[in-house]
Amino acid sequence: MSGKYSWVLDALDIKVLGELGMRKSAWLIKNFISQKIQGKEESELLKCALCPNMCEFACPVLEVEGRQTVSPARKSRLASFYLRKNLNASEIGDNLYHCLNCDACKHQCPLDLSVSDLLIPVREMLRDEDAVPEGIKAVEAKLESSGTIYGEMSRGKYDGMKDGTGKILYFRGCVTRNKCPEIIDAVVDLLKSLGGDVQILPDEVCCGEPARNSGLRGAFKDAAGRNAKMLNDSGAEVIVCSCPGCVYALREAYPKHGFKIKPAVMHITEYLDMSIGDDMKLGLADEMDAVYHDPCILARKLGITREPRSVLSRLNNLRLHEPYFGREETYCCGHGGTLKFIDGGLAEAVAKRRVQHLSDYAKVIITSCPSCKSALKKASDNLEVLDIAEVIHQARK
Amino acid sequence: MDFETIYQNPRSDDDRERILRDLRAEIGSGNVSSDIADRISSSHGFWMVAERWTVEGKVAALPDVIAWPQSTGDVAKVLRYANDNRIPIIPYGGGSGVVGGCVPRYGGISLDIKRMNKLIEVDEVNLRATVQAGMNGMSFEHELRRRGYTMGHSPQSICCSSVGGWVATNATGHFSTRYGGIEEMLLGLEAVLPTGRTVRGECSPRRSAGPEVYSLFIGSEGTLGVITEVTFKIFPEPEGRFLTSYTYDTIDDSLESVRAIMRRGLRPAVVRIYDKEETKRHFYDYPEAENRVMAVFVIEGEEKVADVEKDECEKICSEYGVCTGEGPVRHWFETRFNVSETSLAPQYGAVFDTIETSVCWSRAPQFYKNTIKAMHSIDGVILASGHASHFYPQGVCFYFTFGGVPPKNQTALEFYQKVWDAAVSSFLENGGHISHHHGIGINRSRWLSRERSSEMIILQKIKQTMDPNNIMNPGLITPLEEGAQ
Ligand SMILES: Cc1cc2nc3c(=O)[nH]c(=O)nc-3n(C[C@H](O)[C@H](O)[C@H](O)COP(=O)(O)OP(=O)(O)OC[C@H]3O[C@@H](n4cnc5c(N)ncnc54)[C@H](O)[C@@H]3O)c2cc1C
Ligand code: SF4
Repeated sequence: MSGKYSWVLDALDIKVLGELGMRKSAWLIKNFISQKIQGKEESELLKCALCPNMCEFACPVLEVEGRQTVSPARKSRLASFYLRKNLNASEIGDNLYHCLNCDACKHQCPLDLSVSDLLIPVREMLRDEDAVPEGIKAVEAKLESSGTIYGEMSRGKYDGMKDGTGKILYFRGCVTRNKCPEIIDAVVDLLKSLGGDVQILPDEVCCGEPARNSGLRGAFKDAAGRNAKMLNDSGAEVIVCSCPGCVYALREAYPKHGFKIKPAVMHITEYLDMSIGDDMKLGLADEMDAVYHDPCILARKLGITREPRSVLSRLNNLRLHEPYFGREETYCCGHGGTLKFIDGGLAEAVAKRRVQHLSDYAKVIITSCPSCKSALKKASDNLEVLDIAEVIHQARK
Repeated sequence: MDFETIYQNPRSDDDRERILRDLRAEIGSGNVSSDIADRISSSHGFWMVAERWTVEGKVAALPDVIAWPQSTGDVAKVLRYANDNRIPIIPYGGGSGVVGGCVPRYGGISLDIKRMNKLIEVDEVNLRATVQAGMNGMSFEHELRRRGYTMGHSPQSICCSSVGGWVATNATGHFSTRYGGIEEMLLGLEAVLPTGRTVRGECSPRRSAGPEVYSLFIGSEGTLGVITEVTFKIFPEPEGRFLTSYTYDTIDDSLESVRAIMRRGLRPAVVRIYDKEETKRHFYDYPEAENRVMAVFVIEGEEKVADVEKDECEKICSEYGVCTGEGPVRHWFETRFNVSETSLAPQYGAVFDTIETSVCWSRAPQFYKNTIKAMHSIDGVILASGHASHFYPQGVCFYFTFGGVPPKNQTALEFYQKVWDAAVSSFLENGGHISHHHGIGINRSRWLSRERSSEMIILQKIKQTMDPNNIMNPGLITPLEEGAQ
């Protein structure tokens, strides 16, 4: 045999096997070669638990909290101790929720593991045991009562809007609706001016991604089921989202859970990149220096880093700066994943750290995610933070 | 909690509660914990045998509390308290140490330095940078790279170790043949002694004013005090980088070629020679490497100078081996942080570890062969291989790997220790050192007095002077009986 594991067979040559005795050699072959070569290794969680934390430097939670317990490999170790009943749920505490779902770990990982993904089934078990932190319980209650992570929201001016065929459905997402309504204004205007018949669901509910992440399987499935029905019945051809989390849910997570979304799902940056022709005049009234912040989910989980830059490169009067931690090497804004639900202070510390990185480059931050926008804005006193849709909207005026 | 603990903690729950309460009063309640999740997470660093215990659902040892000082002042408070109450202190950096140096064998306070992670100054004129000891190594290197500098220290664990840990273990990195080990990079430091006294020393660019106190902390492994701040040399990022590789018939030829390079005063940044076993393991995609010894070279610096240096290295290597181009070096760059095997071996029930050492040139080839033979002589060893990865005009660092399965009636630990005994005895019998860069920890303490022989008494006196109550990582340099319990 040649290839990566040929050395194993050589090491286990007849002489060695003879010396080890048949029992042991059979055992070894069973335990190592067959499993390794056929890829049927033990749990991924245990692999991560046994790793020296090779992605540790990239974990923003660890950086701001400075507690080994919440380092990627230690969270996996705690989780595997829980699964083997060495530790019970109360001993685990809320440590498994100290995670931003940013996949910085996965990006560095030699095994291509995402600690956030590894922990979801364990969080589901904690939910089954009714052992989730209070902050997560609150999210679940709000989702149940109102369908959004913020609880009941008053009806907005766009709810149920439909132009013509409504072939472009703008799925706003909870954060955009609750924290950044200005992005909705910009996107609706842009989509209309780019020639689309735009519609917005009358009863949009959360995409369910925060629930999925937090191990609230029931709440996620409920949201996915409701959205899938509304979206598939809408007659839309394309669904455009501002929030990368919504894109990820609709495009990746729903189908994995049996909810197929018929219309194409696009992030606003993809849509703009596709729709803004080279001949279209785009220019800001005044010169602007700005730095681009890549949202983690957009850059790492969806691999969208070219499109926002391509769109912004068409703007006259904009000097766009690249931060040192950019594209897939980006750094979370602090509002990813489950951390903000259980420790707002820590989430804000991560946001401040990111603002520190970005403020070296310009006084304006452009990003492509409502969560990033609201997190970075809250964490910076003197910087302007804009969503890419707002910038393009300004440039088209 | 349902665990077997290998090293039993001698303190009662009441003692633990008291320590928790007292330390909270000293440095704030958010900076101390006795939660079991925190204690388990600091139960060991990355000692391979302890990883195997993890698979078996066992824990190496539990500290009583974890303390996360935020400042040098906090460190002083914790140390003073521990000293007054004779409680062991186990400094904890990144926890990547591989010899059991962070295992709280006697319980006590695991003092995790990670909250002290600020960059204090990058002094571009004088080419030095000062940083708090808890900063992650890769974060520090990124701070330098952003400004156009590098430290030149790039251990495989750079992403999971702290700058203070580097000094405490006398570490060295992949690029050491050009930039040196940590001892050559360190210009000064601040440390807190068990009495709470802070000492600072710095000698840039150099001084002759008596023995340097700060250098005592290099390789001290937490036994003398807590390093809180370090000042390192930095280098402008190299302008040019050249890659080349060679294969050889024998390990002897490969060593001879690098010896000739070092004699000439050439300083490639990276040189790594893999024996045939390891060449097969790492360079399986290169048919030209089959049944050969592979060496990879990275030469960097001022573009023109590095270009000449590369030509000269290649001339020498061509006398001994065959050039295989840049490909294998690129492969090394792509895979150099891939340590996935460490996550896999313990799960398959295999016992696996790496052991590094150094030896002078005149003995190197025989030293290598004897050590491989010695490891293979242990019942149950399936794999024994080595590479050479740090070079000096005087000699070389060998890095051995072994893997195997404990024979019947032998525990994993017994088997592990037998292989280590065989390897380290071979080092000592063949004129080598017991460690090149991983340090002593629990694992190597049994050979320390043979290595340091006549110096041992001085080491003990230094320890007694600086840490009279033996609270600092007890048992690593002097036995526990002389101090804290
Ligand atoms: C995958 C992998 C690859 C590695 N590659 C290399 C390599 O290329 N080169 C190399 O040299 N080593 C390597 N190591 C070993 C290890 O990374 C080094 O020993 C590193 O320097 C340890 O730093 P740390 O911060 O993780 O220290 P820790 O593991 O936290 O501690 C190690 C020892 O230092 C003491 N200590 C830590 N911080 C302080 C402090 N601030 N003050 C006083 N004492 C302190 C601890 O008590 C302990 O005894 C590797 C380890 C792994 C897991
Ligand atoms: S995610 Fe990957 S790199 Fe990070 S700790 Fe787990 S196994 Fe290691």
